[in-house]
Amino acid sequence: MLQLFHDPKIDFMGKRRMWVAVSLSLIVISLAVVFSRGIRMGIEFEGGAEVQLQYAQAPDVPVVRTQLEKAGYAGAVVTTIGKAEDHEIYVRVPLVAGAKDEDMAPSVIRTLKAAEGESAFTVRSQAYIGPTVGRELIKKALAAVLGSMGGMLVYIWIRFEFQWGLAAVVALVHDTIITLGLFSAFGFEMSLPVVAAFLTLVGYSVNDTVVIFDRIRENLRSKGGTAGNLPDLINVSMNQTLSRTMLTSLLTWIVCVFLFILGGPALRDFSFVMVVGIIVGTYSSIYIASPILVVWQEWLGARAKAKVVESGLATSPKATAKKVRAGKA
Amino acid sequence: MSNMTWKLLIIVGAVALSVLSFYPPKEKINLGLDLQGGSHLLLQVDTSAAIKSEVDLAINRVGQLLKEKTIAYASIAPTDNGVDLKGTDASRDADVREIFDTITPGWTITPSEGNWTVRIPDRLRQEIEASSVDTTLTVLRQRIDELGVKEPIIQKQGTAGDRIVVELPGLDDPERARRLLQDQAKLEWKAVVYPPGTSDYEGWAPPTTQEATLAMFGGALPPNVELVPQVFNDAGGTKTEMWWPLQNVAAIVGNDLRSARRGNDQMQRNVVDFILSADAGKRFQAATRENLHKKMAIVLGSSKGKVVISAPVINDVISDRGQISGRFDVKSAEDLALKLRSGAIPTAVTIIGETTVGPSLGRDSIKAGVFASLLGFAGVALFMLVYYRLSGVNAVIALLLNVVLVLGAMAYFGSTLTLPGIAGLILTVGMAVDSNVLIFERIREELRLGKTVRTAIDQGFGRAFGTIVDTHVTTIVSAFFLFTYGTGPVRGFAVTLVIGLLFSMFTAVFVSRVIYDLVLGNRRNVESLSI
Repeated sequence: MLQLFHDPKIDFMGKRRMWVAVSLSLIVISLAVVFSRGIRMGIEFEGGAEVQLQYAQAPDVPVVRTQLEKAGYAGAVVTTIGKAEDHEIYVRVPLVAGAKDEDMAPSVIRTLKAAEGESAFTVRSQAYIGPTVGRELIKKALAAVLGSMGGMLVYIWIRFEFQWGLAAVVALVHDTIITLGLFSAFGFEMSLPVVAAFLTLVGYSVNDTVVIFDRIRENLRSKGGTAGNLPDLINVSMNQTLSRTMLTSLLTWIVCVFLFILGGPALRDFSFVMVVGIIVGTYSSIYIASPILVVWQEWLGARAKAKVVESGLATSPKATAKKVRAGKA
Repeated sequence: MSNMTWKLLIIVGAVALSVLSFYPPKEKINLGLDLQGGSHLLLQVDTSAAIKSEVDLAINRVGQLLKEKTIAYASIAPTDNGVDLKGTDASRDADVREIFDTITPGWTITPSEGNWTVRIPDRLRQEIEASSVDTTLTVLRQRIDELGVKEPIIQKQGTAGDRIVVELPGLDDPERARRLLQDQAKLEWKAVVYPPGTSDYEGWAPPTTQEATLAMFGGALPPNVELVPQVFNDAGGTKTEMWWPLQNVAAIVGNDLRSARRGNDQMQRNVVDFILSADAGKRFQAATRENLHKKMAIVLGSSKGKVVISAPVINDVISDRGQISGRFDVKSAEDLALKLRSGAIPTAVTIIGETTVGPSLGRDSIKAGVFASLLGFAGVALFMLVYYRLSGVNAVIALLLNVVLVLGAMAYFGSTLTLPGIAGLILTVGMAVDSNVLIFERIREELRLGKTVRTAIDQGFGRAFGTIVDTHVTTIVSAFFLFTYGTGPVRGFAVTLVIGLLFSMFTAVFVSRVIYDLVLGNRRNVESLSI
């Protein structure tokens, strides 16, 4: 049979300090990138007008820009999009503070028609977003991301134990920050679908973690509820699930790469998040989430050496085993 | 029937139902605006206009009753939130209170030596505001229906309940829709207030500037009088205005109309004929009697302010039928009639967000999205076949069924497929295959431990099940938050994802198991499994 890993015996936990250090520096770098470069905000968050036009002949972008500036649209962004032979341009005009702008997109189109002729282009899409909408959406997006992280914490808390949920959520935050850093570094634009991608990533990243957690718990249970040497046990569990982890990630990743390359401009930012996020998420469920369980146990051990067996992890298998059985009955 | 037959029936039935639901997909699958093209508009409703018109109506009626009962008063004026009536005869207090009790029931009435402060209490105010949003919604719906848009969506949105979402699929003239949505179309009949010393009431016309009209009143307008322009666009393109001094409070308003239609007058000019409701007819009768052989202005309020559309001389007492003339062409007369018929929007409506996607862009998006998805699916299928061989075939069948079931469910429940939804569909394939991978890897493990094929399959499915539930629930949790946060396309993504995940439980766990049982079922000793 074809196998990715033949009975792997990789010591994941042995170098956990190194990987935690790597992750911490990646997080610091990502935060630095996000704060220094910022994140380009799409029109739905920032407000303003955008139009997408398809010209009959190749459009002259600088000329379009000057015409808009002449008409009083300061700070207009004009770029070509899609394939060169499509003659398509994208125009974005920022909101003017205090102005009543609801007619913005149509008047941008009128301005350009007046300057370049009625039949110079056809309108592919137009949008206008007022200032209040954008502010609300940012709040909603943040609430959704934080809410779903909280939801994960609670679910895993119920299914496992609090510290497992915490570990999974730390891995999630890790994935989100690093993906956001790359998103900002490559200059992609934050839009509603991108937020959707981040939320999907949250779900996906926990997926991976939960599969490993499930196996750790199963192995704990088969040992009669004593953690024994936790790092070793985690190592075994991760090696057992390694094929599945890599396979699933690879398959979903393939799908997202296809979307990224072929899905058209509208899906590009969305699929970028997934392409990057799946890699980071897979890494973090192996090197971040599970080590936190060990760190937690060590911390408890340092606090009350004698009580290791009764507290925290050690009690969880029995308790959860009961829940699982009850659930199946 | 045996257990197996039942299971097969369930699967075949589900697939048949799905195919029936979504075939042919072009007709059965709802496409989102981003795929089929159309306009999405987010409207903010300002309800203060509704309060104002409520106040105006109250003043109108109270004023009329005071006159009927011959109660003298110094002034009656609107405030932000009610009516101030000043200088009534103290001996008639009981009568005045009775008038307020009939006209403005529920309002707080505070008399003080012939001065009456009448206010709308907060709760009533909220009721008026809420019902004004509902009326706005109804009016918009009627206007859009007359536009002939197929399957428009018009609904309230937002926690404050003062926003309206309008989705117009496949609309090719967004400009006309915008005008129709925003135009308040508030029609009012107002008496002209002649400047002091006017003798020829029928022939009087106001000056062409605001200042000149003001000057006729000695520089300041009397209380309860407003200036409203009438605009003339001449053939040469020159624009002239006339500034009419009008009574603040309207005699009747557009809501009092029972019907309105385009018609022709004796000179074959386009006019709008209207019929008033009974109650308004009575008020109009009183107003026209009072203004006989004088001019009354027909004022049309829109988002851009008020304009006089005509100011005819009242030749007869009119009760319930009338005619509006004013340089209409066929289309503008028809549009005005439409707006009057559907009623005035009692509020001010502003567009705070708009997205219009042209049909060509939508088609390109579908092409790119579907192409990428097909290749993604092919990639996954190929991998599964190479890696798991015959068991891979099992997984690919399960995946195909998953896609079929998702499309069927979407068509059945009428949910909308959006561009992110296509991404969600193919992402679901990626995640559904995870369940198969979990199970297959588990089976392989059990086989390696030396278990028989049947035990390995049993335990593989059994042990992976808990994990599969966990992975599904976590993704559904995030999809839930996605749905609550998202609008339009993003919601489409969340819906597709959740439906896909639910079905992947069915296909990966149930269908795949049945396939194994079917293939291995009749053999006594299964020695090897192609996995």
